[in-house]
Amino acid sequence: MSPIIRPASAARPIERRPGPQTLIAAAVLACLLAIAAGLVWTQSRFNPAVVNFLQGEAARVRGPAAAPAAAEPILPLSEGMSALTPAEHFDRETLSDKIDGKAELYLSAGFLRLDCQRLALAAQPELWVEVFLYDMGSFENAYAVFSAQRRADAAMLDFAEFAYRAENALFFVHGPFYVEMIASGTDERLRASMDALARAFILGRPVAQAAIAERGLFPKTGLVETSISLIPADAFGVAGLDRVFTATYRKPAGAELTAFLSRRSGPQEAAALAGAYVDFLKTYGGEVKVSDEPVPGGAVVAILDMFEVVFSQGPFLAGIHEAPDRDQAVTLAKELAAKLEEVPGAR
Amino acid sequence: MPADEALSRREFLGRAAKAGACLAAAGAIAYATHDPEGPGPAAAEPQAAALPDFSIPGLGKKMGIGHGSDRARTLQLTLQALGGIEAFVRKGDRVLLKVNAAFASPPMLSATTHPDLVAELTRLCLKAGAASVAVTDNPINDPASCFALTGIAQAARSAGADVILPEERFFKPMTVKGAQLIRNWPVLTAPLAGVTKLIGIAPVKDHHRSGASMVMKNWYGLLGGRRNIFHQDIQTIIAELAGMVTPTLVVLDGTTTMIANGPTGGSLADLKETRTLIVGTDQVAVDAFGATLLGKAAADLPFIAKAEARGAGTADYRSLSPVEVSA
Repeated sequence: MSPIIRPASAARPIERRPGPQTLIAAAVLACLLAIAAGLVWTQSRFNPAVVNFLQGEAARVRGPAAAPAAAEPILPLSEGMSALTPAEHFDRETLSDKIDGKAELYLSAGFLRLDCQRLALAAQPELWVEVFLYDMGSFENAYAVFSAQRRADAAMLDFAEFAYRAENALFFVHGPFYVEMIASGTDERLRASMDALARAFILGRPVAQAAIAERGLFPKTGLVETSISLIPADAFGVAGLDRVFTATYRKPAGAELTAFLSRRSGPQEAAALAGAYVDFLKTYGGEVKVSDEPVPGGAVVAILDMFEVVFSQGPFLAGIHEAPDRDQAVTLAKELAAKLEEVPGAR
Repeated sequence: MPADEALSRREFLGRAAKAGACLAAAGAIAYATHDPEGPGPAAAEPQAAALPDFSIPGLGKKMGIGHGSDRARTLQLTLQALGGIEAFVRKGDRVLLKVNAAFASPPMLSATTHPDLVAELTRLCLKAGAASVAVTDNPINDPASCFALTGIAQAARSAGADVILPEERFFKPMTVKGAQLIRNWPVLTAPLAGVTKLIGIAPVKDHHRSGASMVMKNWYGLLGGRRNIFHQDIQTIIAELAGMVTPTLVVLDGTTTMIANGPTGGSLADLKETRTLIVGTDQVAVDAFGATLLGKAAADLPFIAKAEARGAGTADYRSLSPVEVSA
C-alpha cells in the first residue's frame, strides 16, 4: 500500500487513494454520528417526568392555578350578589388545572384566557353561581366552543345571538368571549341572577358586530338551525382538517344527516383537501365506485355500513358525513353544492 | 505540521492509536456516568416502593350490577348479592376510600363521587368492624373547596370517616414497573400508609380526551405534579394507573351518567338517569360494563384493552357472571 502522506511540495499530483488514516478518520466520524443518533433517539423518548423535576416541581401538588387572588369581581355584580370566592385566572398553560380533560377543546379553538369566580346571593350564600369567562380571541373561536357543547332542547335567550339556558346554567357568546354561568341549584332566584349578570356583562363590554357567514351557506330545507357547529381542528379525526362547519338535517321518516363545509384559501386547497380526505377514508376501508360522482369531481365513499360524500366547490370543501342512506346523502350533497354555487367566486 | 515534513507510517499509527484510546476512554467515562433514569428525586430522596396489593387472596373476581335510583339502597343490595360488605372488609381493617372529588361542583352535576355513596360505604365498612375509614383524593381544583362543595367532606365526616386533604409531603416519587409515563412521578402515598383495604368510588362520565372517566381514570387523583401533560397520552396513563393500583373493590356509580361535555359537565342537560351501580373486584371488567352506560363498547375505549394487556383485569365482564339486582 502506498503512503498517503507526502510533502506538500511534491511535484507530482497527490494520490487520493484511501489509506489507513482516511479509514480511521471515517471510523471516528462514524462513531460521532452514532453517538449523535443515540442522543437524538434518547431525547425523543424523554420521560416528561424529567421536565417536571428539572423545573423543580416534582412534588408540587398545586399547579399555577393558585394564581394570586384578585379582589375585584370579574364582571359587574347585580344587586343582591356578592363575591363568594376570589377570582381565578388561567392561561393556556394552566387551563387544565381548572377544567381537566376538557381543556383541549378550548386550546384547539384558540383559547387565550379564563377568568372565573363564584358569586353568591348575599342573603343566601349557599345559593351561588360560578362564572367562567373564556377569552377565545375571536367571535368565531368563541362560537366554536359554544356550538361544540350546545345542549339539546335548550331554551334560547334573546340578549345575545348565541345564548341559551339550561335548567341550572346559562351559556352565551359575546364578541370573543364564551361565557358559562353554572348555578349550585335550580332555584328561580339563581336563574334571575344569572340573567342579570349576563345582561350587565354584555352592556359593560361593547364589542364590534360580527357574523359567521358559513352559517348561511347550508340549504334551509330540513336544517336543524340550532345544530350548526364549528369544529376548530382535526374534524372527523383527520389531522389538518380544521375549521369545519357541520349541520344536522332531519329528513322524512326521521332520518338524520350531517352536512359539512369548510372555506379554504382557494379552489386548489379545497380540491386537495377533498382528495386527502377521500384517501384518509380509503385507508380505513372506504370504497369508492367510479360511477359515484354526486357532483363533478366529488366522490361517495362507502365505509362501515355508512356513506361519506366529499366534494369541493370553489374554495369550499364540503360533503355529507356518516350518512346511513346513500341516496339521501347524494341528494343533500347536490343541494349543498347548488347553495355553494351561489357564493361569489365559488363556481 | 509543516507541509514539507513527512509523517512516517509508525508515527501516524502511534498517533492514531493515542487518539483511539482517548476516544475509547471518553466513551467509557460517558457510559459509566450515564443515568438512564434521568434527573429526579431518586438521587435526593428514596422512591416509594410499589403500592401494596389490596385485593383479597382467594376471593376471586366478583362483580355485581344493581339497578335503582337510591344510591345507598342500591349499594346495599349489590353488596349483599356479592356476599355482603363483610366479604371485603373485616374487623380491624383500615379502609381508604378513593373518591373522585376532582372539581368544586355541586353533587347534582355528577362530576364527582356522590356524597350519599361515600356516607353509605363508610357506614357499611364501620358496621363490618373496620377500625377506621378515611377518604382522600388529589383534586384538579382547590382541594378544600372540592371536598366542601361536592358534599363529600360533610358526608364522610358525618358517617364517621376521616377526610385527608392532599399536602405536598404526602407525595413520594414512584416508578411503575414497565411504565412509560409513571416514572419517578409523585404519587399520593401517605394516606395509604397502614391501610389494609382500598376501595375506589367513581361516577360514570364522558371525557373529552379519553372517551370516558370511570374507576380506572379515578386513580389519576393519586398523581401529583404537573400531571396534565399526561393528557397527551391519556389512554396509556389510565392503563398504567390500573397497573399501579390493585384495589380491594371498586364502585362505579351510573345512577346518573354524564353522557356529554365531560369530564366537567356543568348542565343538568349533560346527564342521563341510567339507574345502575356496579360493584366489583376487577376494575377493567367494571369499566367495560360502565362503557355501555355511555352507549359505547369496551372496544371504543382504548384504555380498557391497554389495561387488560397490563394484566389489570379482563374486558370480558360477562366471564365474571355478574350478579344483577334491583332496588
